[in-house]
This record gives sequence, structure tokens and C-alpha cells, in this order.
Amino acid sequence: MSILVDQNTRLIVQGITGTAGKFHAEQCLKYGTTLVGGVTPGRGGEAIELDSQKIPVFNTVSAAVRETAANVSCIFVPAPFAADAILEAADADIPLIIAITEGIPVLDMVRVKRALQGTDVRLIGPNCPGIITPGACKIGIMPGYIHKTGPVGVISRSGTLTYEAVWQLSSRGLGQSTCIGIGGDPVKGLDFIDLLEMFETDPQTEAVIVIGEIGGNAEEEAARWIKDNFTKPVAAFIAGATAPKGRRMGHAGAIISGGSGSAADKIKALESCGIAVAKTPAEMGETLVRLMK
Amino acid sequence: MSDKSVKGILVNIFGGIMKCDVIANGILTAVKQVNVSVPLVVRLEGTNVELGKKILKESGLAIIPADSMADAAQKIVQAAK
Repeated sequence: MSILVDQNTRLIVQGITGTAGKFHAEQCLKYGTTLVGGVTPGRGGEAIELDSQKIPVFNTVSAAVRETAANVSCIFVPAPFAADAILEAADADIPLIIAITEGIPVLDMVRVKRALQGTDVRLIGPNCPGIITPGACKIGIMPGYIHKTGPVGVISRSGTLTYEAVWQLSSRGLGQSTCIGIGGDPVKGLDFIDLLEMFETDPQTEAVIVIGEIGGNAEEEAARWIKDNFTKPVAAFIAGATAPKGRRMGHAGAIISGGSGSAADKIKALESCGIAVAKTPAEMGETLVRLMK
Repeated sequence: MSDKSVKGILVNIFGGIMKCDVIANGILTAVKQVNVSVPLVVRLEGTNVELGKKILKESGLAIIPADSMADAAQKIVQAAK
């Protein structure tokens, strides 16, 4: 088992003819993901050669779904058009949408969030590395070779720190069930609690690493939720301990505003709920290994 | 290099969408352009890592390679002393 994606996932890539879309669609295909098609308006009817396979390109997501029975879409569409791409995928009844694109305007995402409310569509991202179930399905930009099948779930607001945590686990012989980058934007799809709910009921997952950062209060809410509802061991890391107040740190959502959202507050909230917090990013794997012994 | 208080430089990259060979070539260009007179530690991991490490190794420049985040931190502290 795993969560959200597995060997039954049938992927399409929106923006497959762009440089990033093409490179990473091929990496996903090489990893073993079932890539059934791509979408680029105006390029329908063409085929794009990836890893010596011909992948069909469609003008619309609905045409792609009709022809390929795709059930997940990954979005590499440039930021000004990415919100429309998400809405198009949702309108075509794609149940899981993964938006890699960075720089989508916040107001566009507010519109998307509203449109998805009350539907069964799940969105991961935007501004995220994507999702991987090791050995079965990789969707996004993470390097595949660092992963290993196993019992640890990983949820992270940071791309690079996800890779770092995964690499530390794999190097210690501890594999992962599913790893999800939820993205660094303030308005996004699935958040910590949504995914923790899924990991709680996933039999393969025995423990979870949660990687947060400054800004917002998702980590504080997750900490309280874990204390009341989550039965498996959780290790955490919060990035941005040295960040000055009011300065945006790389991610749009990573800013301490109005005195709230600091790393110290988040670490305190997590520790008070019984969660082991790694002191440095080099200790994320070790912190979880200690919990699992 | 214009900041005299800088005693060492640490580059730590775990490449996802960014490929390690692009980073390695960028470092080489930078080192050749700016005369780097302090120790430089580079830790590469992720997409195209083997190619990136090879580019740095074959450059013949005095770049100290590191294998992990902790290893990189220790090496730069040691080298900057």
C-alpha cells in the first residue's frame, strides 16, 4: 500500500512540450510511472518521443482523459496560465492534480481553491516537487534514485529538504511509503493534516517525517491534530530558525508576519505535542530512526 | 570576495529540477571569473549528480568535495580555521 499514487496511476503531463515538462516527463517514465499522454493546446495529434516511446499529445485534458483513461495530471504550465490548467484538469474530472509550477499569482490560487471546494478533486502544490511512491510511481521533479520502498511517509513544504530527508532515510536502510511535497505557497491544495489522515489509515506507513518552515500556522495545527488523532511516531524539522521577521525566505509562504509563524513557535508547538524535532536538517533521518527503534 | 569577513564558502545543492552538472559548470565559471581566495566546499546530490561531481573533479580547481550536509559543514569549518 501507499497513499494517492501507485502502479495503477495513469499520468498525463500538462505542458509536456515545454523544456521542463519534457525533461521531467521522461524522468518519470524512466522511473516506471505509467505516462499515457500529454496536453499542449495547439499541439494535439502530435507525438513526443520520450525514452524511445511515442507519447501522444492532446489539445485538451478532456480529450486526453477520453483517449487514455488518465487519472492523474501533473502541471508544468507557465505560471500565468497554470491556474487555468488546474481548473481544466478538474473540469475533466481528473481526481488528483499535481502542480509543480512556481510563481502562480496568489489571487489565481484563491480562485482555484474556491472552485475545488466541495468537489472530490485533490490538488498537490503548487510550487512543489510532486509525489512519489518508491518503486511504483514518480510524479514530479524529485531525483528518483534516492528513494527506496519502505515504511516511512514524508510530507514537506520544501523540495530540497524532502530530498535531504529521503536520502538520509535511504542511506540508513529505511525506505518510504509515499513522499509528498505540498509546496511553498501560502494558498495551496492538500496540507499536512489531509495527508496525515491518509498515512494514519495506510498499513504500509509505520512512521512519518513532517518538514515545515516559517510562515502560516499549518505546523501548529498539524501538531495539535497529531496529538489527538495520529497513532504512529512522527519526527519533524522546521526550516528558517535564523530568518529575520518580515523577510520572505525563498518561498512565497515562508515569512514571519505580525510576529507569528516563527520557527521557535512552531518547534515549541510540535514538542509540546510529543513530536521529536530535529535540531538541524542533517539530523532528520536520525531523529526518525531513533523513534522507530 | 569583496567582503573581507568571508573566510570560506559552502555550496550545498540537492538537485531536483536543478541539475547538478548545471550547478558544477556554474561554479567553475564563477571560480574562474572571480578569484576565489578562500576555501570552497561543494556538496552535490540529486539529478545528474555523477556528471556534476565529474565536472568538478576534472576541473583541477581546489574545490573540496563533501558527501553529506553534515560532512560539508565540518569540512568548511575545518578549512576556514
